[in-house]
Amino acid sequence: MADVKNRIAAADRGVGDDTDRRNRGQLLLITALALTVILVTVALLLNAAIFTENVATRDTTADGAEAIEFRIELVDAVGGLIETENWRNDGQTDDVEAAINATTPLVDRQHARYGTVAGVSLNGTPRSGRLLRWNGGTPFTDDGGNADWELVDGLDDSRNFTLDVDPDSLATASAATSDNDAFGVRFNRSGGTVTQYIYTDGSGGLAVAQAVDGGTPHRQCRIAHGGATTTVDLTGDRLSTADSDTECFRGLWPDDPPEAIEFVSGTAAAGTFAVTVDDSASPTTDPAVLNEPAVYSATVDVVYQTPDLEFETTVEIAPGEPR
Amino acid sequence: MRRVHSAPTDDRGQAHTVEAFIAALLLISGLLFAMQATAVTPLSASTSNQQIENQQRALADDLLSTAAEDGSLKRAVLYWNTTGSKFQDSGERGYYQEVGTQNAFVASLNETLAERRIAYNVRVRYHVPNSVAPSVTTDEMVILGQASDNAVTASRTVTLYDDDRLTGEDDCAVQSCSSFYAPNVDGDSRLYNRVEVRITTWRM
Repeated sequence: MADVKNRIAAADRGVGDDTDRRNRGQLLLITALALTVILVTVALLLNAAIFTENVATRDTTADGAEAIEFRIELVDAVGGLIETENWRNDGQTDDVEAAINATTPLVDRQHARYGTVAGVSLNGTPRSGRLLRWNGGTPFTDDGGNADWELVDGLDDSRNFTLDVDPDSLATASAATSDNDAFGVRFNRSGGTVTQYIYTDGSGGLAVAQAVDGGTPHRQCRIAHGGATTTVDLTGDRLSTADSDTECFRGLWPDDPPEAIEFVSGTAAAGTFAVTVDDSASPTTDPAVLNEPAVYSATVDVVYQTPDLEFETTVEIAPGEPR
Repeated sequence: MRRVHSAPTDDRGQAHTVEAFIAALLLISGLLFAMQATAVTPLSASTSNQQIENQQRALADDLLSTAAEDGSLKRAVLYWNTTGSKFQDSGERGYYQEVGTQNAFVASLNETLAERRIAYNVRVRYHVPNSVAPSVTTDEMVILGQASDNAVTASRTVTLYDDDRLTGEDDCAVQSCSSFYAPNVDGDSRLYNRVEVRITTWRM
């Protein structure tokens, strides 16, 4: 409509078509430029919003994740060194000390490339212990055939206590009746006992029930064993078979550190077990239990420094310690 | 010079068409210019790419942590064929060049990254002992291509011990295997080497 009016007005004024075209061309140019400016402004605003969101949601602790990851990786590495020494070699603290000292320059060199000062060094000497392993036949009775017997006494610390049991050898029971004749691991502590009874529930499941101070046992967790050897990890609160794992959130280890460990109704289970105990403990001298030197733990100083972060910590590494 | 037309309305139609073309050209140019400033593709460099990079880095970090936890990362590092001096089941170059399921770690890379249209390279860095100038050497484990400008990396270190056994068809401990890629850095202790597994990821 504006065009028509303009044209009429131009005709009235006697202005030709050329002037009209030029006016329209200018108008279009200005409109296009204005649109371009608007679009660029919108794009800039959007980018600013995205960037603000990105900055606002960044980790506020500079390089904190890397430092924690470095610590975790070193705990794994030193823990692996200790378990390699205990299980595949002769459990000597000197060997672990030498391996940690050999690790130090490698860690330093590896991180220097990324402009990070990272280090690990042994704090003191590794702590020695004993690795107790089942060396008897079946079932879990001592050399004299006693079904109830003490594995170790005078404990300060213990870790990595696992049993590999044949579910076919276990008594069939329910949680409430498990204390009658099911196999149990009893932890004696000052002021009472905690017993973990291990049994099959008659429907393809291996279960663990806990009795505190001789009270009624309550089921802690269960796993479908499928007839295969099942691992009961008492310090790790876990049941596992070759195909599946069950986390026992209600716990399989007593809240207070035990002072002695006993087996009850050893005739109702067959398999193997292993536990690492500290050097102050007095393990049984029964030939059914293999008592070997071991490294219990090692303490290391961990350092991680970047231009924005300085992280230092001391960690005692004892793989498989109770949670 | 002014031309005289017997039928001026015909010429105005042509002029309007040309004007329309020019106006469209200007608008499209403006739009293209504006779009260059925004993140319109996963590969275009912009501020929103940082979000994508953060997500990819977190994904790769989590993948490495999971693999380290369940042992598949270490098994992949030890998945070596001494006869061919290459990673087990890899091609002529000695590393994996395609998305595959040769071992659990490579399969998890496939499931987690490749299926989300994220390409990756995996390299292993290990220490080479030398009394004068010890160094760090890099080998390829998986190479899917050339990383883009927006690639991110994540790494995890695996410690190898003298008694660790290869997980490929050769059954031998690393310290006694003839052609394992990483050498023994310390003959006096159980420590064999520390291998850093580094993943580089980018959007395809």
